[in-house]
Amino acid sequence: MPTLLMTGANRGLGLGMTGLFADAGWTIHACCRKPDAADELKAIADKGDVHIHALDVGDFAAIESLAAELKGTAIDVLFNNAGIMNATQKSFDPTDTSDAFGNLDFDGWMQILRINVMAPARMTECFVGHVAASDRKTICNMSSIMGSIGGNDSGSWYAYRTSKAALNMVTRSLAADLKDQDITVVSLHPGWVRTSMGGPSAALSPEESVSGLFEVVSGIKPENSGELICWDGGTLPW
Amino acid sequence: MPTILVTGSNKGLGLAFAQGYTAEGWKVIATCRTPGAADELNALAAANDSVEVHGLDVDDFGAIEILGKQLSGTPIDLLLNNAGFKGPAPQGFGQVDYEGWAGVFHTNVLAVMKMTETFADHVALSDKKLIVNVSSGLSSVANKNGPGRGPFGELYLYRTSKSALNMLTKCLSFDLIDRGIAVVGIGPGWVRTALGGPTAKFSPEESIANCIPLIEKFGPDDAGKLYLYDGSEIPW
Repeated sequence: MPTLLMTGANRGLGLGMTGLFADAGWTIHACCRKPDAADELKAIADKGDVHIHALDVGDFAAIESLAAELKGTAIDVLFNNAGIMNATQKSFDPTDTSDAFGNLDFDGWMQILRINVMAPARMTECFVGHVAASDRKTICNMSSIMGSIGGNDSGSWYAYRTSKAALNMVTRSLAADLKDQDITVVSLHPGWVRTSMGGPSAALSPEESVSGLFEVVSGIKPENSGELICWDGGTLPW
Repeated sequence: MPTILVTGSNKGLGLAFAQGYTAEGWKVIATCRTPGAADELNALAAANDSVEVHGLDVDDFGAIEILGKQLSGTPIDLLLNNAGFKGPAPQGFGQVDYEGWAGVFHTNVLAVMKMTETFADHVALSDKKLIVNVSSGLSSVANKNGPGRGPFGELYLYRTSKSALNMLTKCLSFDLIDRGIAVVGIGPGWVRTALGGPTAKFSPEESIANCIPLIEKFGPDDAGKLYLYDGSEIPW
């Protein structure tokens, strides 16, 4: 069976996708900051071929250590899922003004860029050999339609939106740079989902998003490399 | 006489913009990190009463606020967020300098936001009410001519910062249009500057000869758009 490495696997979409891939019989390396507190992830691991690793993706030395630890392991799908919408990692709050014009939290913005943009690049630099050694050779970056400049018709969410636009450029650049190794790199849009990030009024249940993403990831082809793909399989504009 | 505030005006495009707008008869508020070493800019200011030079490191947000207060009540027709840099080389896959990347984001993206937050009131007082962010053709995520393979190599740091800047331009355009302010991005072309290198296509003077007439035509309908120096739109 294929192997998946998922970051941010303890909650939300990362947890949901880990569960689906585990049910499908995949071998999973599930990463999260605090495995001790990841009760739902541990419940999935009890039933499937799931290996849990402590990893804060903002700790680039820890990424290198994990890559060394997993040396020789082929990873079919590297899923850079971990991401943040605000630096304090609070739940979604429409009244939050830390990301609004005139009141920007610049330190928080830098932290969001580190986790949402630089960490996927560092993960890919460290795990490219593991992916190249696999059959599927796929890298998925969890982006968002919020990172689509052409699709931005309302503004706000400066830090989050700029981070996802920059991540999409990372995806495009990686797709070009890793083509010679037959590695496929895509950005994914999960929809607006009722997770702690999306908030309770979001349009999709986690189950709907996760099952769509599972289908998308299972069916990714080399010609998709460098695309921003929606949870329902459609391609989105930059 | 309209007024421009241009950052990074001691060399390259910023200097050419300061010289060009001076020749157009504008009042020029020119900022740079080290005015004491800005010989050409100082020569421009010595020869033209319409040019004033201020020391400003755009990464020093406290200094931005101080300059904003110092210029309180001064209408600024055109805030030209020009200061920016390519970042440490090399910056290809497997060679990424992450501290350097953070620095590029700070200067090329966050400082533009801080300048805009601070000077939006000055721009709102003016007639033209324009904010122009200097981006790049290399910012285009959609660029079908080989993302990641620009003329200088993969350029992860620079390209991602300019893509993020384009998103910032788009976001700002929504927040400021109610005050009559249009925020627009421009790609000045491949220019022989410290950033573009000696083999680039245009001299700074040639580039700004294209950009100044282009900017002259900008208005509210252009808010949130990104134009190449020749007036064509750069795809996102």
